[in-house]
Amino acid sequence: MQRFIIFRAGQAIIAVLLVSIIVFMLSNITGDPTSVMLPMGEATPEDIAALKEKWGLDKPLHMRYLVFLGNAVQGDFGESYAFGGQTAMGMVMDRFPATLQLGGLAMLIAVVLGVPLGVITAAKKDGWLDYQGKAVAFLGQSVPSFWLGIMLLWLFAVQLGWLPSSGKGGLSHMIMPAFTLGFFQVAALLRLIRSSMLDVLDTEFVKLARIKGVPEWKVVWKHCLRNAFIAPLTYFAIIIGGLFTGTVIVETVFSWPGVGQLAVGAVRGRDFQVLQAVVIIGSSIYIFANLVVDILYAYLDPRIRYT
Amino acid sequence: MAVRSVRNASRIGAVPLLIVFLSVVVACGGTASEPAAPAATQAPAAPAQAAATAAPEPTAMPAMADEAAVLHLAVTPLPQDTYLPWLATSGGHLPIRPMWENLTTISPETGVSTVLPQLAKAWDISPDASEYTFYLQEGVQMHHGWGEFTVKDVILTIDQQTSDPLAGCRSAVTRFMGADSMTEMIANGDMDVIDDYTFTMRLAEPQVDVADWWFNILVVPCAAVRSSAQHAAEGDAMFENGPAGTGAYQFVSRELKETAEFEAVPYEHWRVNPEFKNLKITTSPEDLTRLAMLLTGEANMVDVPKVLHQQAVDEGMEVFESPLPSVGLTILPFGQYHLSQVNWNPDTEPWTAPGETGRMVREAMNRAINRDQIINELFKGLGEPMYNTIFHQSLEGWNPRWEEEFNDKYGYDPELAKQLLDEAGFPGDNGQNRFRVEVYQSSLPGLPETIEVAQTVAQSLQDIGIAADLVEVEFARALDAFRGRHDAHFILPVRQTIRQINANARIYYYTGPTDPELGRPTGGVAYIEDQLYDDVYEALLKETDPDERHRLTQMMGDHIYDNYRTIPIVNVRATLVVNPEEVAEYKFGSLTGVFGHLEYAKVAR
Amino acid sequence: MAITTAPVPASPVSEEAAVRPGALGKIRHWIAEVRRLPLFPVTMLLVFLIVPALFSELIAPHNPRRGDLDDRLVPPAWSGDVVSTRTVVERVNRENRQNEIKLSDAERTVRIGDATVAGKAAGEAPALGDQIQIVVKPGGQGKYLLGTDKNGMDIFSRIVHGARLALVVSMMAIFVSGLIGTVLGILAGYYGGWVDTLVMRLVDMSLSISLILVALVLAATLGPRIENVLIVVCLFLWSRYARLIRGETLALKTQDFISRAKVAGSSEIRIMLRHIFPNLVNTIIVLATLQLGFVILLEAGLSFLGAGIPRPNPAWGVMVADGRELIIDSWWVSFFPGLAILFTVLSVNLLGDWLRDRLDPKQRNV
Repeated sequence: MQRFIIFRAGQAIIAVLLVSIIVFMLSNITGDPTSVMLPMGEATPEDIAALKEKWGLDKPLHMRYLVFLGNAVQGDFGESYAFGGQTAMGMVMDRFPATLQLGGLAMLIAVVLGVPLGVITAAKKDGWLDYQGKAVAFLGQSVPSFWLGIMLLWLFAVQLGWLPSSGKGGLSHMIMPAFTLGFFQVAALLRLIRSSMLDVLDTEFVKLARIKGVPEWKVVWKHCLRNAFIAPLTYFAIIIGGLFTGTVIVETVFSWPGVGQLAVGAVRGRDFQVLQAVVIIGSSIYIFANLVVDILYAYLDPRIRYT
Repeated sequence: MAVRSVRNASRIGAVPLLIVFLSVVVACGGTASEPAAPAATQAPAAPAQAAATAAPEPTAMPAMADEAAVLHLAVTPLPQDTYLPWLATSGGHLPIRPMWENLTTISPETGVSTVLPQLAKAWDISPDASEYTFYLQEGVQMHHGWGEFTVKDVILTIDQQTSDPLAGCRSAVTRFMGADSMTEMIANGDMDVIDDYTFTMRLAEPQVDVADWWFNILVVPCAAVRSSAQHAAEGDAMFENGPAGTGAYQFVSRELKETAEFEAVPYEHWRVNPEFKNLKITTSPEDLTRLAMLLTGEANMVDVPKVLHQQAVDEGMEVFESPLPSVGLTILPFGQYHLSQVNWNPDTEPWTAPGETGRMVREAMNRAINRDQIINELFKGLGEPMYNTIFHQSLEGWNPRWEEEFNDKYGYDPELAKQLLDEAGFPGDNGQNRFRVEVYQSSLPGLPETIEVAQTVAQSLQDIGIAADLVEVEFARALDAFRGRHDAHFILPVRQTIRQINANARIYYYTGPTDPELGRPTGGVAYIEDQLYDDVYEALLKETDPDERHRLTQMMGDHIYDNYRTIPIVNVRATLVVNPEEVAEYKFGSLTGVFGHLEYAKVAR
Repeated sequence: MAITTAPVPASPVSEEAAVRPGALGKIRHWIAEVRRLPLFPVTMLLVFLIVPALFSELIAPHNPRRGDLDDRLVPPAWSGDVVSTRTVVERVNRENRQNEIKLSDAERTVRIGDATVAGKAAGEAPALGDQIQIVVKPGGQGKYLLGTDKNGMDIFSRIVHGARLALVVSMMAIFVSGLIGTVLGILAGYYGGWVDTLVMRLVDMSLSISLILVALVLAATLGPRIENVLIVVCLFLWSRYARLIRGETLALKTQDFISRAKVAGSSEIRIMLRHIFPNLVNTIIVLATLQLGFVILLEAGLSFLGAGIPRPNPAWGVMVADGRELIIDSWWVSFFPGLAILFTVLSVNLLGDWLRDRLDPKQRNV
């Protein structure tokens, strides 16, 4: 087990390194960032040289990467260009709670809706409910979240005036973005739970429980659900990744001041320091979540342990 | 078994799909039924809700309107936002402008050419523009009890401005000062601090617009005067914690790119006591969000694209317009690098060709464009034709003939345009594919219509047989392209802020000395190079006689106009949409037209 | 669950091989196959994606990349004019705003031709107290079925041409990533050992990078380009193929017919190409169909964020993005393109689901 954890952790670190290389190379291959950073019309060659020195741009690329990596490990991604005087890391950390809130609520919605629906549709396989559930799942996986968001905004904020259109505020501000974000995950979770429940419902011990006269609801909700959770666990990391991807779009649609909006703004303003920080921190979290899930999974189901 | 499960698996429930289908029908039908229900019934939809929730607040407590009045402005975030004033470009400081004052200012009614005193009550300039004496206002309070404003605060402000290579106007200011800071200037004996309210500067090179431009509100970061006493006590942390300035509003709180809050100073301000005791500025990148904020009563003044104005007006909002245009939109045919000749390709880019050929091609490009249509349709009539890039009726050098002759020389005439291209030697294949040009399309903060203008211009050029491709680029990439004198196979719609001729001539037309290492000119941006423009710009720097300045700028303007050096499109007045039940009057600023004089806004009664 | 020597049972290829009924029988067989297709998703797919993509020029009445500024934001053809009569006043009373208009606004609307003054010639300036007829919302026009956007481009034509763009981009992305993933997956599964380890570690890494963030970085550095979408999708999609194909190959490798081929002296490449690959075709087709919807959604999302297909190309995602700010007044601008995405992806997903159950019931959780 220990060997497995070490192996997986090492692999995760290599993945993070790879991401950092990709991001660093991409932000450095095109043009000279100084020309973007200096104000229009007033920069002289001395200004440019001074700036290059300040940002270490006068050194060769691989040296710069090592410096960048060394700083990044200490949480220093340099200073934001668009937020003059602010560190990129600080900007990301400032926005992080907002994204976490939104993601958390979306996750809650996904679990509260997705798990029971998955169980019910599995228990009533091929029944009326199962078909409706399936349709929900298909819709959830087919509707573009940005469009769903806009339509919700139009209906509930503009036409009905029930919910605030966007921005950060109380719970009412979060309902629409969280639902938009969670809807895709409801669908994913529903399908996962359903298929995994079906597998469990088919096993000997369930049949045994039924023969022993355990009430059906207890069989389904207690015996099966617990076992059915193991398989979707692996997909949990994918769901977290999906949430992260989703937040970028949803935060843009609803002007939610989270990390996703920061990233999109950084792209528009070519604020590479912030962009690097967002991508590397975001990917690290994603990779770490994968790692934790893998290890957890290995504990729960010793058969899959490899090496 | 297998067959059954296959069939079942492909069966899905109809209820959710039915719901979607019904929503579609309702959405489409909703408007289909509208003609039957005109204005009266149409109103309740969106706005009535908004009005219902918004209305009670202002009407419920009219008596205390003065004390509680909040001016809540929702605006597009600028590309840059920073706590440190010297890092801000002239756009980046806007959200915090209400608390700062500068040595000089301008008024929206008279425009940028008329420089008015602010913290400097007067100044003398030597005839050769190399020596300045400033006389400062006395008895001006710094916020939060940081004492009285003196010359020390000016020195701190300029010193901070010149200390960081990233700072906005560092290189220009250090060049004309001949020193790296004001403190150094004093040490060198080039600056005399006569008393707390008077100082004299002897410049290293003549600079005619120190008071007009560099110390003006127009370039706030350069001279947004902050408290030296506070800086001595707190250091740079002051900017994040709550800096002290001298404006009519003082700092309350700020979150970068989100909100900034201010309150009226608790004492009698030396200039004006705002009617709105509280001021909140929210930035939100989505136009829809800002409009919704206004309609739901969250904000009472917003900036939204003109395409959304009608919607707001229908809900009873009012559109305020600035008395003078604040920005223009002009199209620069790139690559007219006649001086440096870096990446100058007159053969493949005929609009850059020297002499008559280039002139005819550029005239044809100008004639292809239907400016009336752009102004009426894209700008909803809230604009006027731009007759000459960087020039305006309110600025020096204006020549009335540019306006009078405009229809004859620049008017929409695609047939003539084709004829001109034929004559210039670009018949193409039966009038198609005469030559290629890319039209760069990028969204610029403050002028969202640029995207549609680029689209329209590309089509107009296609109509006269030029193979025009629309290329979506980040503005920063276009910036790279002309800074570095890359291949100039494109034309670029740019937002042209209306500034003094000096400032804009430096950016648009001044080539500057060539850097031997880079092999290209370094002067500003220089979209278009010409010996005449370089000479005029350099002469303007030392010329203080208004008549001579007028003659010089007009000479340059005539040359640009008669040679069709640019494709001027439109001058646009700044607009804000306000809730007339809360805001009665507003005095526009200058650069973006939005933030200049918030302290003069009047509460509606 | 056990895999028999005969390749996957229900595949059309195998049935055909078994029966060998001649040309007529072949046609009859294919008709039978087609009749077995689920009606609903296939019709939807044809209507929303295939037919518009193939016959864009025939169907679309307008050039999707050109607009007429005089026809900006025209509503769908079935909506009528909304006209209102208002009195010109100095100051609009908010309660009475449906009946009054400020003088300066009246002047402007008359100047740009949106309003006429009662009892005055066209274009004549209004004065205080005049009644003006103002077109609050102009109605639809027959030539623009689904209305126009803010550039005056026909939305219907753009949706139709957008189908081609969506189809071409997603097919290319899926083909390239499928090719890479299949090759690597077979190699990893067949050879095992360090090849397997290497490929699988690459797979893990590619699955652990956030797609959208890398796409954003690409957009920032290279600008929005179609190539970016392809690069991003391929970079990440290949790993899904590789993982699945590797598993299948591992299972196939132990089968008797492979051992027999080995004994018979077939080269390794031949074994992989002639014996393993054909048995994977169903899996690949199913996965490709299931991924098609995902790729279309991803491309639309990237375009929406400005990191995908650049303007003025009629990408559905860009169209939705362009209509977002106009949703209050001009809902049709983003509504219809979004609907096109929804229906297309829905039909692709339904078809993929059906195919999976039919061709490859093993892939339950993909």
